[in-house]
Amino acid sequence: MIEIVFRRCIVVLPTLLLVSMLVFGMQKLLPGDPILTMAGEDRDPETIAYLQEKYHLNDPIPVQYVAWLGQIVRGDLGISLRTEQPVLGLIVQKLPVTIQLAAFAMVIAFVIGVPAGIISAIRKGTATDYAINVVALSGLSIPNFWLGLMLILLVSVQWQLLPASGYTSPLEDISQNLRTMLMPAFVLGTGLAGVLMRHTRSAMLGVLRSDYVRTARAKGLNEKTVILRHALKNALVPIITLSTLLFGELLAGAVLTEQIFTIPGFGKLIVDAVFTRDYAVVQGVVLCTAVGFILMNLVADLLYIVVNPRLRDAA
Amino acid sequence: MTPPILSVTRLRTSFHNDGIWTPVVRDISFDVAPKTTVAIVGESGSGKSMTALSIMRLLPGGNSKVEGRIALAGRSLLDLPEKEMRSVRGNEIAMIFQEPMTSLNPSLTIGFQIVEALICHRNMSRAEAEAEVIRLLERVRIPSAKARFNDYPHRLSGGMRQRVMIAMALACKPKLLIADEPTTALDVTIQAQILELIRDLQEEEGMAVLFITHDMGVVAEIADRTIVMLRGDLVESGDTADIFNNPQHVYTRSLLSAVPKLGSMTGKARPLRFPVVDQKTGIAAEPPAGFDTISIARPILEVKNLTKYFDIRKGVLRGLAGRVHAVENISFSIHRGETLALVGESGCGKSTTGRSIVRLTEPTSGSIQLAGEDILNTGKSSFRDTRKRMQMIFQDPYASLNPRMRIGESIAEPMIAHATETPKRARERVGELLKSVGLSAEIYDRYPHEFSGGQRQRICIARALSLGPELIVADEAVSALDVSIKAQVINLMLDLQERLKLAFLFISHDMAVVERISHRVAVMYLGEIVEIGSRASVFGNPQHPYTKRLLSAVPIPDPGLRVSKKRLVNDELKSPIRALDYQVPVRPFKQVGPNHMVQEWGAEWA
Repeated sequence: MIEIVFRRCIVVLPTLLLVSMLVFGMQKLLPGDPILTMAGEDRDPETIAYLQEKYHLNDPIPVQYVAWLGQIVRGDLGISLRTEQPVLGLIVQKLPVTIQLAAFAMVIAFVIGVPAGIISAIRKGTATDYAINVVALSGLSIPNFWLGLMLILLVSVQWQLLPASGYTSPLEDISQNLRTMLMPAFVLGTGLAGVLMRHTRSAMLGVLRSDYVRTARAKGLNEKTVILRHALKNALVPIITLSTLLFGELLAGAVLTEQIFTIPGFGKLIVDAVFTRDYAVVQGVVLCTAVGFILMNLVADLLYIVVNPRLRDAA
Repeated sequence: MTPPILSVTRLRTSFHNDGIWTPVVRDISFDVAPKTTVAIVGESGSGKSMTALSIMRLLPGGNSKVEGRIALAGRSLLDLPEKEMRSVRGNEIAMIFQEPMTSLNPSLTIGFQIVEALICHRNMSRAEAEAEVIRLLERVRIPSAKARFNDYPHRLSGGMRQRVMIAMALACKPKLLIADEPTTALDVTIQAQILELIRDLQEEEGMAVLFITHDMGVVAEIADRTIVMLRGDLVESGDTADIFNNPQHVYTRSLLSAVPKLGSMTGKARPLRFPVVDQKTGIAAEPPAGFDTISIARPILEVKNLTKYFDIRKGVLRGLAGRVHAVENISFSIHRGETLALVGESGCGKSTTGRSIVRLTEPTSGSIQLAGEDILNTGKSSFRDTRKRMQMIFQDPYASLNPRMRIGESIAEPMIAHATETPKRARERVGELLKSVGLSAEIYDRYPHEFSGGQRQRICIARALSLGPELIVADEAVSALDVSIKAQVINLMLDLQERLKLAFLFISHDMAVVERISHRVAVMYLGEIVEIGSRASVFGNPQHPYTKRLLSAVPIPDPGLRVSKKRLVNDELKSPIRALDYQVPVRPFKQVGPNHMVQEWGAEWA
């Protein structure tokens, strides 16, 4: 078991290195010169030369890369060209907000999507199944921003139940924090719930046809035990795979949702940084996201081993 | 007379399809007396498994309907509410299934899966149940049961998994055990062990058994009474000995005549076709005597010292940890017009041998010559020509035809790929080929799903013949087919051999079929040929202990000759996985007869 964890972790290293190269290279290839932006309107050649020297932009690219990588490893993601603040600080400040939003949305997606998928698989072909599918399809096809705006209109403007925007740290006021997060998380979560439901349904349908579910029934177990103990655990594998992919979707969705609900999270940081060509921040954010993604996949790999005992031996 | 445990009266099971109810079981009635075994025998689609699932009420609700009366010890099962039916399932009636590989939940330990049944029906505490399960695992003769308790199913072989299924079924001491093809997926020696186990346990427990099977040999071996089903109807039922000795219905007769019977070829020198039963009169026509097809010129195929290892890699750095010695230094030859059967159980290397010969897998070492031409050291392009001369037929006719290709295209494809025919001419050839395998030329444009398993296997044979090969490797080519279809396909292969002087490498685990079709037999065990010789000599005078064990495990379709009265060895099949430094022992062959060699065996067989 430990050996498998170890091996999976080792495999992650070259992936991380490759990602770092791509992130570094991407910035070099992008059009637009940040030095020109920094140098201001008059583009004084001396200032430009000074800035190029300051940021080591005259060194050969591999040297720049190695220097950059060294900094990254020490936790130094550079200085924001715009605000002159350390990028790491910015990220550490904004990341928890987005993580909370994403986690909240994921919980909502799971709480709605998985049970709905199970029920529609059990009731396959009935009115319940159709109803769930219709709702799921609408959840998939309604764009986040539209749902967000409509919810703000209805819940905040009409009923005045929840705040329309803003953010309060959970450390300050947990109930206010939940009130501000509920709507954005719901908007973000429902779209994913539809995807989760469809996949849970098809995974469950496959498992429910399997021989071992028939064995479980032939044993005289009640239907609840058959579904939850015998079927669900085996249906989880594709759902885990899907969840890691949804993580990317979640980040992309968060960018938009944070804009609508004016939440000062990661999404807003990315948008601002891209518009001002604040490369250090873009780089830091992309790197962080990529690392997050890779770690999610690592977690999924390890979860597979928990769910599927065959993998424990296969390694 | 004691009242029956199970009494089925006018059972009719129907499925809802496109707005109409189609019955799959039609008004069948039978009884199972206490402590007896009743076999339901029939081919695919006969409704035998549907009958079992109807009794258990395990058919999917909604689109299925069960009518009639099913009474367990006088209590009508069809009228019970679902909740009470649950206390019958696994408790009063238990069931074991065909596929031990998929019938256990892969994500739960085997121990827990049995514990569950005990907790559900017997109100035992977890600790009591666990102790009981270990006793049960020991009763089904699982070695070191205690250690096995926490194993997941994938660690167990098929035979061991079926034992777990049996332990699970017996956990609550049911009055009736329904066994749905419990040995079909198992190797013949393992099958014999499981049959013996079921019989022993039945005696100890005094339960009744409803045994569902397609194998007449198994029926003869185990059943007191037999029910024969055909397309949903019960066509004949009675005492097993009566059914075998004096079959009344035409279908029963044709079924019995199609069953290959081990030992029926004694005294016959050449392969023999199966007798064809006239569907109206039910009289079996004597098959024509086999012709001498073998040419004595140079053998078409000569295999020398063929060896194939597969590497096993382990650990962080994927280092070489061992090797599977799939094929170990084997040599044999086949003449034109001759059938050499390669027999053995799962994992013995027979399929790898076949695949190596047509170079679907590259052998580790050795030489293979086709009509004197070395085919292992030829380049890709000249090997393409060689490939025309040998073709392969596979086990599963459902999986070996592309479902998106018209069958005519499938048959024509090799000719067009090798440019032996123009597309136009190929179409004509396909018509001829279809006729030669007993199908109509008009089916060119149809798709595989429109055909039955037997027809598909004929199509596969037509495809294999399309390049006019001299050698055909038939890998378990008839194993997936129903008995009567199997007989027809074998007759077809013998016809083709006679007409085209084909050489067959017939790979099979079925000793009775092999006895019928082959001129010579090679017995494989753990990658090695342990005995090779003429069919008459190997079957009539087996030398190697493994050959003897294999032959004695085959159930004989004759209730008068129940084989496994003798105690069987309770061995697992061994595995050919070896350490890196494994020294292959040198085991010389000794001559037993004019055409009969046997490998000297070691102390493990003593």
